[in-house]
Amino acid sequence: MPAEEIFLNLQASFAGLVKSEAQVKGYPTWTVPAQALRPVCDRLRTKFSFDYLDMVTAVDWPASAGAVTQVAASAPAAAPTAAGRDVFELVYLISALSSGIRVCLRCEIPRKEPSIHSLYGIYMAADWQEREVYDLFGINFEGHPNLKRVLTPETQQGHPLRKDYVHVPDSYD
Amino acid sequence: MTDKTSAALKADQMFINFGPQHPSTHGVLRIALTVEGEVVVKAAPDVGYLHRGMEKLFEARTYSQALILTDRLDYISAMHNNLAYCLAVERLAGVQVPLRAEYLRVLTAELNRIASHLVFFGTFAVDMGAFTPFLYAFREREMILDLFEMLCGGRLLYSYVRVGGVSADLPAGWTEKCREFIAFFKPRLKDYDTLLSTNPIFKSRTDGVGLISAAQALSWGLSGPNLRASGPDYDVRKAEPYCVYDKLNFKVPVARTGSCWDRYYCRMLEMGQSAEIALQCLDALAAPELAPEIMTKGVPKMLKPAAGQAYAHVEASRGDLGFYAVSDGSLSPYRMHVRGPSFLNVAILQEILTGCKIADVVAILGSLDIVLGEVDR
Amino acid sequence: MGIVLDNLPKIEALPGGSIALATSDFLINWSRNSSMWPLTFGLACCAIEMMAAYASRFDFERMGVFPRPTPRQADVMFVAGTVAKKMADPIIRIYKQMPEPKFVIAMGGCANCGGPFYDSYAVVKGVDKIIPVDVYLPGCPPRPEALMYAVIKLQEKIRKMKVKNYHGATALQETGARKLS
Repeated sequence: MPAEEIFLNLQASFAGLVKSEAQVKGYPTWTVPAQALRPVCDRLRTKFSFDYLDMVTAVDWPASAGAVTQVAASAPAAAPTAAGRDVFELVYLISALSSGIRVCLRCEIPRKEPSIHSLYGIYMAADWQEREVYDLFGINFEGHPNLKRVLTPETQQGHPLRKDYVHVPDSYD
Repeated sequence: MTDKTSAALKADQMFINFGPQHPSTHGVLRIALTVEGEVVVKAAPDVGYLHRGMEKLFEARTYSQALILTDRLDYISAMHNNLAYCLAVERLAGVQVPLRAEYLRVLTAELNRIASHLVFFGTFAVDMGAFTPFLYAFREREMILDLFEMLCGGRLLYSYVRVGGVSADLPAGWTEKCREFIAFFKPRLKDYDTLLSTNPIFKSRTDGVGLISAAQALSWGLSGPNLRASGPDYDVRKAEPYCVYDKLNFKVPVARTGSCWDRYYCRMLEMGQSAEIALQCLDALAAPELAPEIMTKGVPKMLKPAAGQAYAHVEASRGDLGFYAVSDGSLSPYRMHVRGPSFLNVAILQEILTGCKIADVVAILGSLDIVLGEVDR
Repeated sequence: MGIVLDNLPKIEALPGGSIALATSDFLINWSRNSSMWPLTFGLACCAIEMMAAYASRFDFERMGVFPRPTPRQADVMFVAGTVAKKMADPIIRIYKQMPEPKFVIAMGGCANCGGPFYDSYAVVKGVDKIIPVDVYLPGCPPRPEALMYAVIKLQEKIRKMKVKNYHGATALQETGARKLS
């Protein structure tokens, strides 16, 4: 089943699922409302045999960012829509290895107390990738059984990949 | 043994700290093992001992400066890192690559795959208590490193693949030396089989150990030989051909049971296929229509891609290596995420180590062939 | 004995040739620098070049450099790679577990000063911020030959050590090296 049909099928059940203006080049990119993410993935996995979670990551778009983006607005089709909206953009890349279809799902969640449903259980690959996002961005994944820092030490202050992260010198600096 | 004593023995759990300094962790991995007698009841891998904040550093470099950081991700197969990064940036900026450079990319990537698998072959044998294969593997590996040194000056970290092409064309005499190496190397694979692959001690330590089912492998996001040893025939070179892989003729070795030996042998077979691909590339490069030209055609040093995002992935030595790049139209990436295959390959340890014997921990860990630079970034 | 007499001028042969005299400093330093056992301890990229140095072409063992898996048996630690902050405490601990006299070679740019990660939030900029270093070896990564050169430099240093000065401890640690946390 081509990606287009899957999209229409999903759109019938999940209101708010739209084709993203900001396409990841080469992959169909859909914007999913944050609360629908887990059900959408569940459907993709069980009904459309999307059995492989490639990548989970996040991008920080604070309100101040995007000044450069507006200058570069000459390429509107690819411009990141999240710029300057004070959100975290979560990016999931999911593939069906049997049919070779790969889709990119993106969600926007507010930067204040960011939280989203975990994909743990549907894809075990989400386990550490979500822990990494939690570690580096401070995004809470509801339902994740072991949401602890994975890369930085326990003594790390703040979440380094946030754009407003200020490094506090520690005893090793 | 009475029930009482067996119950008392059962309750006697011991905590073993494995790493971060341990000769068999291939770097600085730590696994917190809880054992009951000989059996592991809980394994908690702990990573981050090599966390260098790479993804934050990308945001402070220009696109061409950031290339040297990618070398240091999976430092055993640096060519693939360069390649994946450049593909992502090229896709982001819409850069075209000369055909000759594409062939050179594939050629060097496949040679690097052989070098990387040779490191695996050597160190895995050392983990299993056989030291000799290590010496053989490094002998052959040095030959590849000599070739790379001729090509770009680096022995380990190359920065050879550049955005828009490669840094230099083949130097004089390189092609002959490369053919000489491949002719020398192909019979060595048979030597390795007699030396290690069919060795009964080695087989009994690895065959049927550390089984990963296909469903497990897919769900945990394994990739590369680790995934293919369990059954799924997924190779980025075939599934989403990049560079010129669609013009080349090669097979992807797939095994069924997902044991340590299968993972090991998939890599051994891959080396042979890589040698074949390298030969095909050498033949293609000799063709007159692929005469040397400028290797990075029309790419400015200060690259300024339009705002947008792109994802590109390659089949690196350890699996599916992806770069997710976001540009805001400025000189440096707004965000660069690395999907390191080793990061996912190491996460499955918590599931498959549970219930195995403590002596098998090293076999399973070694067979996954992780590189901590890529796990921790 | 002939080789010893030819190469080591400090040994004075007595007439007859069956007895040789040397200072205790010389003998101790000679045995120390001819069998430097490093700890099998790799952090990052440089560790691969370190492995290459142990392997076929470079064959470190002919210099008496033979890796030991435990710090208790090791004389020298090659800090081969980036020292992440999470790894800093284990490194101090491993260093403390090594018996005196102990030596450290900081291998590669990262161990010297942070290298390409000089502005990272997660990297200790130079291992000398946490443990004393005897030889700094630049390069990213240094070649195996360079590592050999570092070992030769360390041997030169060992040959100058005096037992009475430092009670067998390394010179650096006795004379105001950084206090280990």
